[in-house]
Amino acid sequence: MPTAAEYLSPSVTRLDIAATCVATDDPAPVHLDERFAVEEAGYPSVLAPGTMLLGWAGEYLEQLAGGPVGVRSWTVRFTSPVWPGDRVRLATKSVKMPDNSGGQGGIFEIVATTDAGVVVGEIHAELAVTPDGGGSATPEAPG
Amino acid sequence: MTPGTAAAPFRGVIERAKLIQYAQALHLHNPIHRDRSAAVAAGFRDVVAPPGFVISNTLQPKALKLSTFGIDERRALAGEMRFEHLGVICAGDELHGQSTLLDVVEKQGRRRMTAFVIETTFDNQLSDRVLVFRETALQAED
Repeated sequence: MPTAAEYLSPSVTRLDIAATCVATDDPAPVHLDERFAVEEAGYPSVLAPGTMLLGWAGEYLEQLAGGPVGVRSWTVRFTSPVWPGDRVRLATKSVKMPDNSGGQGGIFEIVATTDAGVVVGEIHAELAVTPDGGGSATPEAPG
Repeated sequence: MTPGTAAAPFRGVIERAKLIQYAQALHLHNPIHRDRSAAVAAGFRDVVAPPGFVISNTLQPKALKLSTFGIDERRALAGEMRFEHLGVICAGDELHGQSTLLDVVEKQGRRRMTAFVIETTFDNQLSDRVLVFRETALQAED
């Protein structure tokens, strides 16, 4: 598994875009229909759904937090589309550990960029981590 | 549309097959998102929904949600999204949700836009609140 210093998505393919749309029940033609995307929506090609960036961001946050339980809250702002052929790199730009956190919370500022250097998303996350950067979360008991 | 307006409640089951499809499509690394045995071994009920998988459109039609709040889907853009995770969501969980319009704000930038702030809450089969999802839908007005 990749390290948590950064996260690199695979190169986006049209097949993966379509598979994501199937998994998320997203029938939007800008993701699935090249002719519609180009001729009617005015894009250079189909574009990746935001749910792809959400999934990669979610897994990166899990890695930073030591598991899904440590991911408390996060906000994502989409700043530019992701296109077929792009790879998305998520990297932490800053971490703040509040003095009163008791090692239970950190504020992470994360940026998502493509290989071409285009910023496609900005993420602000509160994660349960220890001051040394390790995840402090453990799975919940089965319900 | 008046802030405070709520859409009809919805409910649905998080399907393991959908989670596995999603993890495969995104080439996620953590096996708890695609392998039930790995998820159980890690202490979870079943395959774990990655943070970001469940959003307001997961179990309710996006078009229905938008039309309830008077948003024109053809002119709507996704703005900011916020996730507050209060519990882990696993395959087989039956979620009960409801979307509420929190605010409507007119914005004048390069284009005149209306920002609709919508909050969707999700409770599981144990009546535990597991997710509060807040999104801003932007509607171009010119």
